[in-house]
Amino acid sequence: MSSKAFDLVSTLERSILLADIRGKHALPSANPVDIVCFDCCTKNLFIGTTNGFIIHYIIDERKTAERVIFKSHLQGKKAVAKKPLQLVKYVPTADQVIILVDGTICVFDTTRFDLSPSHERFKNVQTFCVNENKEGGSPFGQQVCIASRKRHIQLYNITAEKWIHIRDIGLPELPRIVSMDSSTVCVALQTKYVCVNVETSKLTELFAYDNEADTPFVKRVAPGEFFLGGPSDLGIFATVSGVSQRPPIQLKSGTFSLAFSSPYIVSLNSEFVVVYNALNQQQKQALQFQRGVSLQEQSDRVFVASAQDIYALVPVPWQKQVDGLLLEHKVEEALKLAEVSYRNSGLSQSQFNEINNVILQKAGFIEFSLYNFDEAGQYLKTGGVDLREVISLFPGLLSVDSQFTRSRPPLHDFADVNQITKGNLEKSEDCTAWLVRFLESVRCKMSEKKDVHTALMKLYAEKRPSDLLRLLQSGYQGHHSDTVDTLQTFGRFHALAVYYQQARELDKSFTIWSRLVNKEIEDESFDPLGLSYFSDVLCKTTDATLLLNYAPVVLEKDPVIGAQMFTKRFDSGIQDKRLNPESTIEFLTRFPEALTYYLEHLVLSANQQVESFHSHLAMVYLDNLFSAKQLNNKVLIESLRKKLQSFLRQSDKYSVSLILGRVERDDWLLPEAAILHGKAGNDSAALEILVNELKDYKGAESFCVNQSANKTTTIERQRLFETLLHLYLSKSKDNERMRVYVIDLLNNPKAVFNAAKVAELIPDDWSIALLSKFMLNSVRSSLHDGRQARIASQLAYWDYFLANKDYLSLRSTTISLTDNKRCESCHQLFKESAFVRQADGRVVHISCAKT
Amino acid sequence: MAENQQTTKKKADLKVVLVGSADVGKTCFITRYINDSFDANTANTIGASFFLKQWGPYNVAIWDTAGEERFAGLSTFYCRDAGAAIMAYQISDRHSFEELRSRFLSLLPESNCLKMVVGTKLDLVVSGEEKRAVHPQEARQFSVDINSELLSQSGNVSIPFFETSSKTGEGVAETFESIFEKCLSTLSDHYRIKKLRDSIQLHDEVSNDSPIPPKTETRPKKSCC
Ligand SMILES: Nc1nc2c(ncn2[C@@H]2O[C@H](COP(=O)(O)OP(=O)(O)OP(=O)(O)O)[C@@H](O)[C@H]2O)c(=O)[nH]1
Ligand SMILES: [Mg+2]
Repeated sequence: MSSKAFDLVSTLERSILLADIRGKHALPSANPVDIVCFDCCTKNLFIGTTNGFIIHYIIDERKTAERVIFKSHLQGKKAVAKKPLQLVKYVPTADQVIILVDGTICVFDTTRFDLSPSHERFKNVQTFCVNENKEGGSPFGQQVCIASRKRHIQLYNITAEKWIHIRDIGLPELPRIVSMDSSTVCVALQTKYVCVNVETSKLTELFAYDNEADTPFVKRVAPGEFFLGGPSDLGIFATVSGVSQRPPIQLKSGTFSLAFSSPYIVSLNSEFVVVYNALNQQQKQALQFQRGVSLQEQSDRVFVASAQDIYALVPVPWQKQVDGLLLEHKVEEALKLAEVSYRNSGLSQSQFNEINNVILQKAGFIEFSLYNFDEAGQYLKTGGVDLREVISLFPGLLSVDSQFTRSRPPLHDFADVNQITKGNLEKSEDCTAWLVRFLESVRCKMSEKKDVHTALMKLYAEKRPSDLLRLLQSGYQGHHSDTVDTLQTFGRFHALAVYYQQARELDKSFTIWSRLVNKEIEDESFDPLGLSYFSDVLCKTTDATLLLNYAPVVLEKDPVIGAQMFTKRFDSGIQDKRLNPESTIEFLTRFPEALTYYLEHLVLSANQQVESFHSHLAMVYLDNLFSAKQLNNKVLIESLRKKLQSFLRQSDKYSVSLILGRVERDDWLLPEAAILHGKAGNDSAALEILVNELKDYKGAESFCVNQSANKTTTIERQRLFETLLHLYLSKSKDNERMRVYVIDLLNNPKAVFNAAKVAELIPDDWSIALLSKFMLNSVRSSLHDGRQARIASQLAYWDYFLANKDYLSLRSTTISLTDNKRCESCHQLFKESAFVRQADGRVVHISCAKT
Repeated sequence: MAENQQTTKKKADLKVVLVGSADVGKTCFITRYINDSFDANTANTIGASFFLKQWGPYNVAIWDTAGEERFAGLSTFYCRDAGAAIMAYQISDRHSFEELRSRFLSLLPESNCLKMVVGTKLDLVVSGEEKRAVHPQEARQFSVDINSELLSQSGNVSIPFFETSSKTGEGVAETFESIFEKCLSTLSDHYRIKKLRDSIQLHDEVSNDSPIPPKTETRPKKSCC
């Protein structure tokens, strides 16, 4: 059975009643005096007894913290008949009690406290009722419906002065019970229930009952709705329009009196008071109650009389009921109950919402304690629980710095989650897993953020490091000391560094990453990121000091990655005096490899045309070459040398004298010296080295070919090649083989010579055969040049001739401008004699010619 | 009695009642539809029970009545104003079919009430556990007879008849869908026309004597720029 809705509280004790009836000194009477009927209204209680008395009490109600106490004060008593009173009904608006006794209605005047002689008596009455819903009726009068022992009902409007007969309405059968709501009287006839509209006299049949087996009753429960005794002890809801809007309720057998206290229907039979919930038709509570007489509701109280005494059914404070329902997991019902209770108490919607939320939250915690996580989450969420209430269930998750205190009164009775799991590890894991899901799924309020973030951070740190970073990087606001401690305890150093980074404590975070890079501390979540991650972070930092402080960590591990921090910064164009190329170069001097990379980037990739960079790069190449030589690494030397030479050849920006000064100190760098001399325009020095020192004739020849490309005049070119020829010839005096090189040189199609001069230079003893090819070529090319020159001259003359002809023909034509001649551009007439003749012959206005 | 939190406080758009002899399987039929489950041990329904079903925008009140004789008096009451009735008989029980005509037809509103004839426990006759006692053609003819009003009104309406099994679920949802479609889609036409009329009225009224422009669906939306 569900938690109870009512407590039974004594309102009028038997001993008091008896004393009041018989007077203080009366002897116990032989025939017992019992209650047969009663009515209550506001504080007034009227009792009808077996011996024809009407007794009036005022009932005072006192509320203590725990319960309600009633005290009765006798106001008067009067014997009004010799027989038991069947029905009493107090009509406060008319200061009357309507009494039914022995088939007769008489009117009792409460001010005079006696039967009213002025009112007529109504005989042959079966029963009567007063209108319970006066809507539309007179505000002063009260409508009374009398069911007579003939086949009709009679309607009266009563005031203190008189009863006004309104109308009689005929019925198909004798009426047994009546109840009135607004303009409808619901009547239990002999075999069926009907609704009678008193204005139209229209009859609506409801349903039939078995007048032998069933006990009929008619109870108005809501505007326009009655509750009727049906077959098989069913209580049937019926509206005045003749349909049902709620399923029936199975009552106890022999139920004869009912009361309605929203949302409960209270029923009475000879042994029990039973309470049902009208919303779900379920039995709510049953109380043993012997010799019950009748039920009467009065605001939110229901009074129940036995033959002996009177009790009140005091609603258990709805909060208590709600708690009871929650314990039974009847959350829906609890919410409904709260709703009904609050509607009746007239509180505002927002107050009601608050209550509703608390119930939901309580329900959430109860479901949680039963591991019904889905329900728990849903209730807590819709109840708008303070997330910290939930977090505080889990020891250690709430920061010691947290401002939070649990709600008063408490939402649950649990100290913490261990009290629920009782040490069951698996269960407590489940609870924790749920908590994570729950916290993730709920949007937290500003006030909760600090604690929710802290809790999630702790949970992630322990169980799901993969989610830590996401949390820390998206507006994390957790408590500082908790965060640092936790992340350290669980060895989440990378996360800790990220945390510091977010908190703009870059120095701290860089220290941690340095230590991770140097493997002084370990965090597996950092391993896949490693050096390049750290270098990225460093690279992006705006604080140059920090970068310079921590860069060595990276540079020592990997010069290229290290250097890239600087090249990327350079490329991104971040302006920073402390990290301009000059100071960077200076800084990187300690890291030659990185320096090389950096300079190469500046010079080769970024194409920086700055002398010092180029010179520096050349020097760095040289340094590298020297150190390679020291190591005697042939392969390395070879490749470095190639690099150096190609740089020396390609770049025009380095200081030749500077490099040359360095290169000339070492004989093995003669090829480089040659390049440098060439750069300096000192061709003969270069060629001397190539020919005399290095005996690199091919190199010498290609040097000349290359250099000649830079010369502007043929004379210069010839002079260059002549220099080489000189060198060759001077060597050929004592070296026969040199002749071959001389001839090769002369025959090189790219070489440029003045044949006459060559002829002079060549020693006379050389055979003509040796030189024949060169001579032939020279003659041919001379001829060729001569002819070419003639053609050019003829063509030029032809050009001149044509131009002359055009000039003459133009001079000889005339243009006549007449009045009707129009401009060929704007097609308007010419208004003055000035005009322009364009190159294509069109004659236009001066102004048109401009556009 | 069904444990049911709902009440019909707000008026339902359609009331459907289930009638038929005791034990033909009415309660199981509803349970299959509402909960999609089958319980072989249902108790006899006492009086009536009630379900609220949302179908599109509509609220449908479904009343399950008791088939036992002692509640006969109540059944008329619960059937009052029904827009549709499911008249259930057991395919293997001739008597239950005959009672539809003799006992239950008179409980239902004579007009404006769709009478869906439903044979239950089809699984029993399919498996051969029990013998068929009512031929589908006969039941269909019965449906045609009692729905003459509806069938003559609109020519292309299918005959309201299904053979079903709550045990297997066969035909159950189809029955309800068919009812809702027949009863509520016509309703929706009415609604549409009525709404349209209302909105036009509102439009006229408000634009005459109120500076606030009326918020009705018929007003064209301004495009923002
Ligand atoms: N095999 C089978 N049995 C069914 C089917 N439907 C109902 N039953 C059984 O028939 C019996 C009666 O079912 P109910 O749904 O309670 O019958 P009812 O029509 O509601 O009966 P009343 O409430 O007394 O009117 C139960 O024992 C069910 O198990 C069905 O489709 N197949
Ligand atoms: Mg049933």
